[in-house]
Amino acid sequence: MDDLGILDLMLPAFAECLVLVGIHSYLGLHVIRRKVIFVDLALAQVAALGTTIGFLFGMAPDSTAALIFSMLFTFVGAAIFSITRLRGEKVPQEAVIGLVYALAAAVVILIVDRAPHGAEHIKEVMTGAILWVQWETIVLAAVVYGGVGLFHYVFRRQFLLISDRPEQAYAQGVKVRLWDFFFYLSFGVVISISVQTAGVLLVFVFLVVPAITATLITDRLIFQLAIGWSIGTLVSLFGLALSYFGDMPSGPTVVSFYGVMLVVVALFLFVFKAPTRTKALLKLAVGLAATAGIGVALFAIGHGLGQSRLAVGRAQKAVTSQTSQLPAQFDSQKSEQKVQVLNNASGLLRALTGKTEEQQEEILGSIDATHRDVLADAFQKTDDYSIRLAVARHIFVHDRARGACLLYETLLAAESPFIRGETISVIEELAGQAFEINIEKPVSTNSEKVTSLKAWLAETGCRRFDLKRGGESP
Amino acid sequence: MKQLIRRSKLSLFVVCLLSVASLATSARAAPLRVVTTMPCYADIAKRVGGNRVTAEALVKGYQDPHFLRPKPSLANKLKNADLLVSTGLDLELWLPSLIDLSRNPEIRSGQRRYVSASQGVTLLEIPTVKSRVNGGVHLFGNPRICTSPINAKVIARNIATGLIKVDPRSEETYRKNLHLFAEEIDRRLYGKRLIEILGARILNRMVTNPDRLVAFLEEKQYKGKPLIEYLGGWLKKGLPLRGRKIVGYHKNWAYFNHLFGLKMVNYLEPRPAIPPTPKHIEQVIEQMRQEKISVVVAANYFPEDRVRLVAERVGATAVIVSMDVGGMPKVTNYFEYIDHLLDALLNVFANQG
Repeated sequence: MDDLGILDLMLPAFAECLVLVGIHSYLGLHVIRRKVIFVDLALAQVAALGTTIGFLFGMAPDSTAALIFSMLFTFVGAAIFSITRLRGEKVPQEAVIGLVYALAAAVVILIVDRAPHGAEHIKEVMTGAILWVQWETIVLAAVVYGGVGLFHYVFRRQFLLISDRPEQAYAQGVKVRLWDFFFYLSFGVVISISVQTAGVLLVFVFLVVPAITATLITDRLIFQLAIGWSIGTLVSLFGLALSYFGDMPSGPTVVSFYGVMLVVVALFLFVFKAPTRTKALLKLAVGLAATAGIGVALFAIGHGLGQSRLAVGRAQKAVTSQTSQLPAQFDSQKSEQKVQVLNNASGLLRALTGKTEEQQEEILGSIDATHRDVLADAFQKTDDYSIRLAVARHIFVHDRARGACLLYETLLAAESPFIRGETISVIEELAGQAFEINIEKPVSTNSEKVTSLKAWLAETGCRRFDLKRGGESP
Repeated sequence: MKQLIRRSKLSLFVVCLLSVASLATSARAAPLRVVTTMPCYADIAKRVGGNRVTAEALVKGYQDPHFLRPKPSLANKLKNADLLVSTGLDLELWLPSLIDLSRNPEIRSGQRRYVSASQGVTLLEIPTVKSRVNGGVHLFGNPRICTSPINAKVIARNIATGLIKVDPRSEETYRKNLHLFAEEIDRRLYGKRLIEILGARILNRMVTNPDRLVAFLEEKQYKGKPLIEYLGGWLKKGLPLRGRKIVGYHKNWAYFNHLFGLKMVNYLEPRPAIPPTPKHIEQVIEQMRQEKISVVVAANYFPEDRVRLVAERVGATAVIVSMDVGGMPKVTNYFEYIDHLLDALLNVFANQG
């Protein structure tokens, strides 16, 4: 077999994670310092709005035109965010960010509702599809993110100043609003690309968790970056591995793993930085015990309430085990059934229905001459020509006149050329001669050809063959 | 004599008057408003109802019928509905709350103006273990009944019954249209010649087991040629599909597969309505390689790029189809829908050689 394992399947996703970690860990530090945590959600939604409106004008969601459209919208979003950062800050900027998110999301739903795949499209924006990422996308993202990173490196003085100490920037005469615009612009370009593959949820944790963790540990930017990158890499690696081995959706697994990582680091720091370690450890132990206690309590409650449902499940199991014994009983009943078949026309018909000709012959062969009335009864009760022919043929063996009459009746009642043909061939086989009847038309309409057939019928003893509804033996 | 003439004139006049009056009333009666969940039911309702009805579907052909975003207009449509047709299984789970909203109690399940399209359909894929652990399992069996034209005739019968209940005066029209529709389906399914030779009644009885019907047609002869050579229509067209193995995205193909003998050996969804997971995709890819499966088929409301990605991995072709009437521009009615499904699959196999 080809090497189709964890590498083949998860490597693109891991590469994409690395690319995301690179730029998002850095931008996350800015976001934390500026206290605009939800700006990525808002910009992502504005980008999605761009894609959607592009779609309204007939651009496929994954085309270049659509990407340009979403970028243009992101520019507008960047402009809004840089204008609304006010010096006095009576209205917190988070309020504007939240509003932009809500409005963009609502408009997307309004538009998408009229388009095919609408609901799916919205879900996709949230969860993304990192498992399905393709190498072209990764390379494109890496190039763009690299460009943004370079831009930020060159103008690092301005960017860091306006994020860290905006008041000082104003005092120094830096054009804060302009650099804000550039910041949100570059941020928006990154977000609109990463959301397309990773989804809003994943992008959000990539942005925030490494930054929070690093900020908890140190205040120096270069160390923060190093910590953010290494944590991001580790979490992506273990998260994707967990997703693979545990067969879980990749994006949400990585997101959850990030959360676990943050808690672990926080707890560790809590103990490490505490003035007296033993006291902190004690507190930690109490906390863990309390958590475990709550867990046990919840389990007990769930178990208690679930009891009745489990009982139902057990009862169903009992029923199924009973039915599984049925076939054995069935076998033992088989011989009895055969006897029933012999003296019951409808039982015989049930046995004959859906069987091959050989099987039908075998079943009929097991019926002895004393039950001929059952056969005739069965013949009258069915309208399945193949059963009629088999039964009539069997009757013919014991009672030529009656069998011949029944065959003739089948021929007259036949509803299609094929059945007439089948009937004629049985008659010809039993008679040992050909009758040259035109099976394309009903037998009654080519009566002149039927003379030789009638002669044969007379010879077998079937006399009342002129009756429209079949013959009858004397 | 004169008196007699006058009397006959009078009676003639009365007859004329009566006929004009009856014409006027029948012309004035507004067409019945039939609302259906699935587009295929609406198309069938139009055929059975003729000019006596207008029919409209709540779900569009390109939407997943499991999920429908509630909109005010939908409730309004139900409010004004004279007859509601839904599958009657657990497919349109959003419908009861929509009916509540519509305040039209007569279209509730079991009421006079309600038709269950699946009544009398032989359901397939009925789960043995009824648990949501296995994903979005349909408890009563597969609800995508429109994928087989045999079911379409049953659906048409159910709709006709509902129409007659609501509008008994047009019973004759509905019965005639139902008969014509069934004949049309038969003709398109078996071809005219085979129906002449075998009779539609026998074919319809045997088609409940399509594999056996095909074996029968291959074995039996008529005028020195096997019956299968007289076969026409969809069954003839679909013969190259019999026994072929393919992979699907979601389990909504049961009746189509049953009729045309396709073997859908796996699905991209690990369990119905659960999105593909890495390990499961890996298994599917492995299976496709081992069993040399070259086609992955999916409805156009599922993520197309994923289907294509899996297909590309193993050099297979992704077939994206419209899963109902109106899902793609060229699928404007039920007959075109069945044609579309067959053509889409046949084209791939033809191109792959």
